[in-house]
Amino acid sequence: MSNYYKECKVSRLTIVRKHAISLAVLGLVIGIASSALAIPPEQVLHVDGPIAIAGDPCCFSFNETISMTEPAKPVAIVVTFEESGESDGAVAYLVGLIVNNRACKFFGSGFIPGIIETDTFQPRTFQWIVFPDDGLRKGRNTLTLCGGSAFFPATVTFRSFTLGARLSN
Amino acid sequence: MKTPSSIKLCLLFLSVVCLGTLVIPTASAVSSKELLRVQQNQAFQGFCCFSWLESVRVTEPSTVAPVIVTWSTDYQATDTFIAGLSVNGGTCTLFGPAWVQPFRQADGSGSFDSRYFQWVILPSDGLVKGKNTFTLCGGAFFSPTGVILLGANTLSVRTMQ
Repeated sequence: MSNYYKECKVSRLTIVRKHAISLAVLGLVIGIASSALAIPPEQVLHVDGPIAIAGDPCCFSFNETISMTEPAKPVAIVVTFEESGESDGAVAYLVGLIVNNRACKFFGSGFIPGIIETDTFQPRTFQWIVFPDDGLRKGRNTLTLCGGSAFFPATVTFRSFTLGARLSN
Repeated sequence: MKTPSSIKLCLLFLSVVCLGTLVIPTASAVSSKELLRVQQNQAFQGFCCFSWLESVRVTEPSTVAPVIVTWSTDYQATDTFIAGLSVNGGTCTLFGPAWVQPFRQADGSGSFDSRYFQWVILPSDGLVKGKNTFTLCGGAFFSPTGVILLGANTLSVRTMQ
C-alpha cells in the first residue's frame, strides 16, 4: 500500500515539474516577444501643455526631440505627430522635423490652419516619412520638432502632443 | 549528466525561441515600395471617383492578412471631396473616413488645411497572395467642376500579420 502511494507521489511530482518547465518556457518566450515588440522610450514623446510656441515665421526648433537607432544600412523612418493645438487667430502654422541637426524640413503634410474660434482644440495628426537619403545614418539619429508661422510672427498653442517613430523594417 | 528528456526540452525551448525571433520582425516589416512621399502640388478636378495617381504596394503571404493604409496630406479644395482606394485596380472604394471639406480656392495661394486618414483593408476586400497595389482615388461630391489641390502628402501601407 505504501509503495502505491510513493509511486503516485513521484508521478505527481513529475507532472508538476513538467508543467512548471512548460510555464517557465512559455513565460520566457512571452517575455522575449514583449521586449522585442516594445517601443524604446527614446522613440516616443508625450507632452502635456498648454505649450505656447511663439517666434518668427517658419522655421525654428521647438526643442522637442526623439531618437531612433538605425542599423548598418539605414532604412526609412515613419514618424507620427499628433497634436491638439490652435494657432493664434487666423494664422496658419507649419510643423516639420530637424533630422540630425540639419535644416528644418517637411517630410509630408505640415499645415495647421488658423482657427478663428478660440478654445476649439481639435486633434490633428500627421504622418511623415524620412528616407535614408534625407540624412539618416547608422546608429543614433535625432528627430526634432520644428516649424513656425506660415506668414508672419505668431503663436501656436499646443494643448498636448505626441511624437512617435518606427523603423520601416 | 543530461537525460534524453532534458535534451528534448532544451531543443523544444530553442526551437520556440527561434520561431519567435523569426515571427517578430515580420510583424512590422515595410519596404520602400510601401512608403510614398509626395512634395509637389497636384490638382484634380471632377466628380468622384477617379485615380489620384499615388500608389503603394505590399506583398501578402499565402495566408492573406488585413492591411492598414495611412494617408496624410495638405490640401485646398473648392468642393467637398471624398477619398478612398482602388485595391489591385478595382473600383474606387471607401475603407473608412473619407470626407475632405472645402478649403480656400485650390490655387495654391495662402495656407493649406491638412487631413489624416487610416484605412483598414480586409482580405475579403480583394487582397490576394503576392503583390497588392493600393491607389489613391476620389473626387468631388457635389460639383463636376470641384477642384482639389493636394499639397505635400505621404501614403503608407503595412500588413497586420
